[in-house]
Amino acid sequence: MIDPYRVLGVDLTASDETIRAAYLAAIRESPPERDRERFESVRTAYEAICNHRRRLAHALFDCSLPTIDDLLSAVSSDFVPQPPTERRLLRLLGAK
Amino acid sequence: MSRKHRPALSRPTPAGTPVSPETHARQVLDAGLYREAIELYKNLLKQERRSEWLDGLAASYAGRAKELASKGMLQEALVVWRNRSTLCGKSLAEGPYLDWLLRTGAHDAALRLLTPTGDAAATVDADLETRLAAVALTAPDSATAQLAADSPLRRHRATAQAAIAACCRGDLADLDEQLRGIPFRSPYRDLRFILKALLLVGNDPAQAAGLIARVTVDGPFERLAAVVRAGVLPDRRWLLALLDLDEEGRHLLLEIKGCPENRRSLLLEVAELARAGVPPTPTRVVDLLLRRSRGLPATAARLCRRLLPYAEKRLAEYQNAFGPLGEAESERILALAAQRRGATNHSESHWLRAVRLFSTEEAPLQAALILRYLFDLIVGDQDASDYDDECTTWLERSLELDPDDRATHLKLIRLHRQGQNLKAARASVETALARFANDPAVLLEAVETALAGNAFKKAVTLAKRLLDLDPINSKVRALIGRAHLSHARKQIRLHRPEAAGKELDLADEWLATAHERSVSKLLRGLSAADASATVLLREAVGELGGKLLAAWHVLLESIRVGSQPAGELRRAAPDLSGMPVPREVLTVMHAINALGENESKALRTVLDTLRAPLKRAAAGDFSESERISICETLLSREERVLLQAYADAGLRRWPERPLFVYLAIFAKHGKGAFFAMSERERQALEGALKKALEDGDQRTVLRIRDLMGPTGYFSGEDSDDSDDDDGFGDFVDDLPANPRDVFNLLISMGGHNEVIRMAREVLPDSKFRPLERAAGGNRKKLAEMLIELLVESLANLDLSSLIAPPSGGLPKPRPPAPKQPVQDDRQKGLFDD
Repeated sequence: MIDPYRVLGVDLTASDETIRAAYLAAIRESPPERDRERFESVRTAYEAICNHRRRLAHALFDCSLPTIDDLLSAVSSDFVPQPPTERRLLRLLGAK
Repeated sequence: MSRKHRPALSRPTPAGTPVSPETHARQVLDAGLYREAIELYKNLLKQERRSEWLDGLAASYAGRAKELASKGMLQEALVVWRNRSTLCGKSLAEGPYLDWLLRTGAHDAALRLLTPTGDAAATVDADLETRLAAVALTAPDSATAQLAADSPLRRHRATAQAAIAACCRGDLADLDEQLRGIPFRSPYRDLRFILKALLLVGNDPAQAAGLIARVTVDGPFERLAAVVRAGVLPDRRWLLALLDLDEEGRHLLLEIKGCPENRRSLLLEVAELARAGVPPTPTRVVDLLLRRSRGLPATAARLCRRLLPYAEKRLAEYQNAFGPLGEAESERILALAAQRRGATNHSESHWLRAVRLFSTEEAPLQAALILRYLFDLIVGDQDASDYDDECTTWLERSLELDPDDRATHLKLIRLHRQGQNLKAARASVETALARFANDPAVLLEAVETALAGNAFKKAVTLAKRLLDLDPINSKVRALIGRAHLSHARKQIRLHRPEAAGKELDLADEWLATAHERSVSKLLRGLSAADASATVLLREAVGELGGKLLAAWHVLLESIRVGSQPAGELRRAAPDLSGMPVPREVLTVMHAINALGENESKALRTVLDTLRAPLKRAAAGDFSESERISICETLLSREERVLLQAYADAGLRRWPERPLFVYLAIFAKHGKGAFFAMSERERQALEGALKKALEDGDQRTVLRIRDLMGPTGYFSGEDSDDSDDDDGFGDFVDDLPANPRDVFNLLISMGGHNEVIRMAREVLPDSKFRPLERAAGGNRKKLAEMLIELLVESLANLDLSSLIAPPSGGLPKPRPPAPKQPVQDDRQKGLFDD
């Protein structure tokens, strides 16, 4: 399974317009002549969730196999990047 | 240092060759025997303190120290290195000494290397300062107080520490300010990029990657730089890099990524999965997520839920971990799980329960989507008429729930039309048109449905509506022309020549090809019997070549308009005396292919008249592919007389071609060739089978095998016992008395499909369909279940009435019919029609 929402960087409640905008941005960033593989995955993702009917069908019937990226994305979606703590940073540099 | 006695070492110099002690010491050193070399050089230096011997001793100490360090004996290595410095007058700070100090945590000692008293022989240089930058930064103030006041390590230390503090507060502005205070040549210079990148890892990894790329590998802050390098990698790659970091590095990376403390071990497990290099199995993922479900976000629950069809037994566990599932959602999961196991019948019942639940949950779109999915799952690309009406009602119900799906409207119209249910097709067209009044695809289906029901006027009206929307649609233009032609035929059949003439006038406006216009003229000629009509008829015949092809059209059209074909042929007077040219024969075959099954009777009548010229043409100069194409057309129409003429001619021309052997024998004996063919023909077929196998012509192999009957029945050893003329009658007489044995014999002859086919003929849908579902697509299982049912049903019947029923009931076992041809590349493209 390559989660189309993750590929396009949109959330589950995104509207048709948001998804289309994300799709266009993604293919501008990875046109087929530059990165064919990425382009294909973006297009596949868009086709899977481009409208309400497709999104529902994806939710109902998709049970394709998971990738590590899907798993990582699922368990890290609530991560909020933090600055390092000084103690840990200095310990990494060799402080006792 | 270990003083263990070493075993005797092989001497670098052969015994008996006298060498000087100096040479011997060099040879021992070069051989890597450092302990021995140290002793030898010490002995030499007792004689005289020569500089080259001192260098030799220093090299021996260095070698020995590195040897120890490589074994992890860092303390011992440091002692040896200090001996080297003391005894040989070498600088302590050179070589790996500093690294070993840092690795053993002797930071104070490392800093002392920079003090004037630390090592009198050492040259305090910028490189050493750079290498000690991280040590100086984290060492206590007392340790750095011993550094020279003008040392950059001391002067920039406070600024670097302030930058670290700003970084850890997330204060980008202050960080920039502090970093500006660290000069380009400062030992702390790498911090200018590392700290900035560290703050950007989470929010702007691309910029962070650009910054960290400017930091050299193995710099003084390498451990910190390695964390940043790992952090900027995308997707799973940062996880893989995480595993390469040490414990402190991992903690720092997970911290800046924002990973909560209680999820770190889960992340490391995921990283280990990533390191395995193969995608994780769904059950493994479900297991991992359920085992560590506490505090996981909703996305993890969603992933787990989507993978439950692979682990349906964990459904209860999932609900304990992530909360209850709706009833409809549970049914969805069970349906997918059953589908995955191949239990189609279970899957169907779960899906239908989900439809009911979604419908009551006011989620009609979900219910509609499931019904369409179920139709595709059960029927797929197969002919829907092979299934009961329930499958079609799924689509109808889905449109009630979601009437806006145009594709389903179109699919339903086509299904009804293909199933000859024109009343339902018209109703579906009306429903679709009510919602998509100006949709070209819907209008096209409406046109085709009207044509299928001979509603020509309606078809033309709809087609014109379609043309208003899509003026250059050539398909529609052709359809309108043909609709007028069909209507004209109808009018001629009803003896309304004027109305027919008007229709033909209209048809001429739309018909694009000269050939079609000639057919139109031909119909004008057939619409009346007077002299002017005859003139038109003969003009049309002339335009159509005046020979075989023209005769074909005259005969066919006269049948279509209800005239006497023989009389009309005489009136049209085409020339059928000579031998038709190959092009004409091929065109006629093309026309035969274009005829619908409903016109097979008309075809038979036409061929009754044209058989003689077509048979004469069999000797014509056709290419191999043309001849095969003709034979296939004749075979498909079961026109065995002509097939034999063309196949025999083909066999004479290409005697090595197995297909012509098959066609010739099939043409001679038909499907009963298994019983009727001679020994000589059987041998020819066996030879052809062998050749087809060698050629890889699987299609012909299957056809020949089918024709030759079940393996062993017609084997060479028993051939003398068989009766060629009455084989089938004897076969029936020899049938076993037990019904089960009859069916088993049927399986041996025709395979499971033959039993299923036969059962379909005798069983009502209500009995057949449940068994088909219960078999879950397994043909063998289905055949066995059907046999059980049939044997039970027949238990009280006389078997002889089964074997040869007067009418209806079970048919006689018969030799297997030719299977559906398997595509063979070499015959590809020959049978487009």
